[in-house]
Amino acid sequence: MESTTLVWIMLLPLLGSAIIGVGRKGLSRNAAGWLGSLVVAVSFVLTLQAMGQLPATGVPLRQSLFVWGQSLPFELHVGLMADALTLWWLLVVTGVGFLIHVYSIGYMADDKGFARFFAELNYFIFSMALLVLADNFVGLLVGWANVGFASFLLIGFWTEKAEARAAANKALLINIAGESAMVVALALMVREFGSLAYAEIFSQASGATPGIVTAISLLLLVGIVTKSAQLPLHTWLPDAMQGPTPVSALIHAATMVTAGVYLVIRAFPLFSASPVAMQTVAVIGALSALFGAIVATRQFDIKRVLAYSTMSQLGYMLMGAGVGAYAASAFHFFTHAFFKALLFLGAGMISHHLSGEQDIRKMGGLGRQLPFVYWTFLAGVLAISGAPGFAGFFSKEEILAAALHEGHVGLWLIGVVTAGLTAYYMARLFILIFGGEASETESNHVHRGRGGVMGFPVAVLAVASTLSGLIAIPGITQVPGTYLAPVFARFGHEAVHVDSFGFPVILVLGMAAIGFIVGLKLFGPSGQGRARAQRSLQRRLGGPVANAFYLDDLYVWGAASIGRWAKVGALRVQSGFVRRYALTFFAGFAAFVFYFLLL
Amino acid sequence: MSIVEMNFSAIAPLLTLATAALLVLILDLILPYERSRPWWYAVALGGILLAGWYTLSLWSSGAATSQAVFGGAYSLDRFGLLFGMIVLSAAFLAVLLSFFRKERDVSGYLALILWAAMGMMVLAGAGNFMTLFLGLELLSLSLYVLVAFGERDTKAKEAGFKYLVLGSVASAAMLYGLGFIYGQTGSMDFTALIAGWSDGASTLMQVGVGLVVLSFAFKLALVPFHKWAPDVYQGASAPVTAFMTVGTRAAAFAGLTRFLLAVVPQGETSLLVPLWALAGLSMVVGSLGACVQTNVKRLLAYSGIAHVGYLSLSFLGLSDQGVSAGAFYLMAYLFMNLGAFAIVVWLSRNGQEGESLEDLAGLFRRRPVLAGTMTLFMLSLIGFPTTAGFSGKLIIAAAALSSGVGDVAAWLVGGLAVTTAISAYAYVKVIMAMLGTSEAGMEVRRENLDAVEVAVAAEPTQETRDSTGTPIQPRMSSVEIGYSWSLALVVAVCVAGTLYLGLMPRVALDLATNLLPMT
Repeated sequence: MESTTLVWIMLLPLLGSAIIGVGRKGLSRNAAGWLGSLVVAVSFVLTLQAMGQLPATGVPLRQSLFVWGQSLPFELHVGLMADALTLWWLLVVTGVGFLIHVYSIGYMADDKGFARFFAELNYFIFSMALLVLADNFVGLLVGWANVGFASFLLIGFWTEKAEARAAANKALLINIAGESAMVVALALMVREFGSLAYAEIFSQASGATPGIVTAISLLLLVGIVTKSAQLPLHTWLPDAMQGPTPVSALIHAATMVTAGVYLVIRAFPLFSASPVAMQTVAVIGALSALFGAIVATRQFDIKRVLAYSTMSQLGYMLMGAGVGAYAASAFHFFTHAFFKALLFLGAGMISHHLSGEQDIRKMGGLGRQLPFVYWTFLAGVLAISGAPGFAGFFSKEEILAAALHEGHVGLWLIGVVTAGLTAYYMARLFILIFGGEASETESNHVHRGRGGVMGFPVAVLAVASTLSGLIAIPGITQVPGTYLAPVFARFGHEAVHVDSFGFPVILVLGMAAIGFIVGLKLFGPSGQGRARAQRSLQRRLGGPVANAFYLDDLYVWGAASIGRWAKVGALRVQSGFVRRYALTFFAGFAAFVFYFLLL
Repeated sequence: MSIVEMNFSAIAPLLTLATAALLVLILDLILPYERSRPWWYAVALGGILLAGWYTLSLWSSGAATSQAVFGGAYSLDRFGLLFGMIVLSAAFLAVLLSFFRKERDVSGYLALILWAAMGMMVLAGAGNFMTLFLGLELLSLSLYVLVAFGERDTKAKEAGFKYLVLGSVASAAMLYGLGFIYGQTGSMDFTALIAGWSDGASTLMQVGVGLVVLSFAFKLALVPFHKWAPDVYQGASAPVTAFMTVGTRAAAFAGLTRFLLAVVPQGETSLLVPLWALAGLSMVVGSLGACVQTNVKRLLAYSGIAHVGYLSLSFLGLSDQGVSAGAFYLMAYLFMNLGAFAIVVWLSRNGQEGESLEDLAGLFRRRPVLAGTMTLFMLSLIGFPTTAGFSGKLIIAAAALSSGVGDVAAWLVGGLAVTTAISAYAYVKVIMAMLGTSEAGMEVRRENLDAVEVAVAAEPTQETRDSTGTPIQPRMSSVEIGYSWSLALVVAVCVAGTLYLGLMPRVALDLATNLLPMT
């Protein structure tokens, strides 16, 4: 069905970005902040409207834009497409995006780059909307690259901080590495399918050469791993926490990092045509879930705990997609966006209160000082830990049940252990911050009364984190499954779906309960872990877990070695003496003549 | 042999360039310096525009299908005309970039740019050995002088010398190769070369082809024949380097393509294997080399080596699709590369080009728009989606994978992806430098410059007078160039081209297809 409004969902934020960016000197703070929020709100309304227009048959809404090229071996007509999956993602991108824009009006109130912040945030929403709205791989990749660039700008938002610049640099480089693999995937698609449009590729995917489809999927997976911070290319995400906290909430938790999950689900005809690729996705997801959870147990920076937790939760999503439970995976994206954004925004309020302190060892006793943050944060903690009734419970259990149902016992076990660890590190985080005696850290009383503008988004997210799971109670409701079913039915597929969690759910809950209680005991007011943690304030933490198994150090060392080697090589080879150059020339000359003589 | 028909309208673009160059020199002779200087630029720009107009009208009048003129010496096909347009665009932008040259004899410099462009067009349209070599030498000789151009600029002199010495060797190799092939075939026409293989014993032919390919590899700066490039590109002034990196490459690519199409029998890939090896080597060496540079011009020189490696992927199948992809890639390279050099010119201080990373430090604070455009060019050189570099890489990789040489293509395209990821470090380094705070030393330098400027404005002191006692004006404002319409025009064109080719390259793709009616 033809639609005329799709393009505005992405163009309005772009317009907002341009106006705020160009007029940042002239616009007042309020004007910049509220204009930025308003355009995203309108995009949200347009998304709702598009959801209303989407026919029950599942035929996507379309809007064609222009011809990209027609005289190549392939034709490419660029357009936008919105099916249930697109709208599902857009709902969160614009909805949570709007809330975080509003929050930022309060959070960034004292920052001198206020208007620039909103221009960049709007630019991000535009790019993300393009990513999910594109009806072809070129559009997808353009959005994909631009969300990465927006993330780069926002991680390095405080350009005067050297750490922030270094983190931005790392994030951009790793993302570009992923994109260059994806370019090859696109070139292979041109060769195999003679097209870059979703519709044509997906309808031919099952009949294509198996080897090529596997190659395409695995190349796309390189991009997915970089974007969604999965093993082994996750090292940029913890560093990305150098950006302002709303950025971490929106880009590095709720939306951008889920682009990888979106791509697996979007390109499911390609992935499902290659068992190898599916297996790889699931295994990488499961291992990343476990890895993130393990490392999170020994971090002391509140945002780094949440960053590794994000990596872990994204792992769940990819594992779900990898076992074919696409709808469950999309559902977990949905609930995770709420509770992880909630946790980050809560973390932002805490560090605002403590003049920017982020080390949880220096916190404590904040429950009495910040009751609102206490209760909302608790909702987030329970949701991510999978407490029955909270949002995370339903989505996580659905993925685990689907994995078990498909016979992936190993993956399921990893998922269960991860669930226990998740409850443990969240309990630890929570009790270190809010329990016990207030530490000597000064609270920031100069912080202005922006409670309302920051509190409102947090309250909404807390409610969503508590209740949004109810849209998929096994056997009673199954909104995500039914809503997304036409997406898969179009290409003759059906997402793996389980109607009841059954007996194994008790095991998962047991693990989580044990983890939670151990976390509370160890790090409670009189716990041993708390005492030990506070003693460790004086020194750098050793051990593989606290240092994320040294992967990052390994990469830094590797890159530095190559750099050193290249520098020495370049200096020696490029000596500046023309006679040396001539010598190389003649060596090449001799090799050439030799080759052609013997040909 | 019958008398060759003189078809002057077919070479109107060439004649225009030659005449404009002479006109510039005559103006210098008959008018006083101050009055004639603006006219030199006007004539040079006008000449290039007129040549472009002639080229376009040849294209649209259908002359593009009427093949060869002057007895087959010069080919007027879509292929030649398209590369002619790329060369003319590069020359036009290079002249605009040269507005800031302070040399007294800049008229000669402009004439040489026009002649070099003419040589490039001749090479791109060559139909036999004579025009091939003529074009190559015309462009080379002009460029030797252009590289060395600059008053008391010893670095430029050194660069010109190096280029001349090594370039002469390459020319000698080319002559040898052409001689060998002539010895075998007895003909100089491209159309008759293929017969040279029929006699069986074809060692002469093989070595001849090898030597010609080698000499083109030198002009393209393919590894290991690249070693002159970093020194020459860094030593020459930015407008000359910008012109060379795009113009020479376009012309050499066109000449090599024509030669290979004429001489390589269908399906005989063994003659192309060395080129593939050079392509792979160039990607690796160019990317790694770019990463360790701290001078933007040198960085762009290495980047150019990597890019010519990507460009050479179009020799994988030597098919219509591959050649089209190469032509498109050169269009993309034209905009992103010239744009980057325009920023280098724009950041000149005291007649020194803004070529070190230090000069870029803190640019986002000082000149956000300039910094933003430079960022765009850097991203495009990486191959960032939304930019021309991305479309170029995608199309060239797709053509390579479809070329039917299987494993080699897969390896080379894999190399493209890996080296793209590596080279990103180099380009992002430039962006990071602009994003960073100005280093402390930078601030000191700026303050000193401002102090000097104030002193000059207040009272001419002893140091600022020359021997006759007349005050010396600062050669250029001692801080960066504030605003200049010529630079703004170049940057605007390059930004537009970079985004256009990245987002909706339809027209450019239409231009770049069906280039090979000659096979």
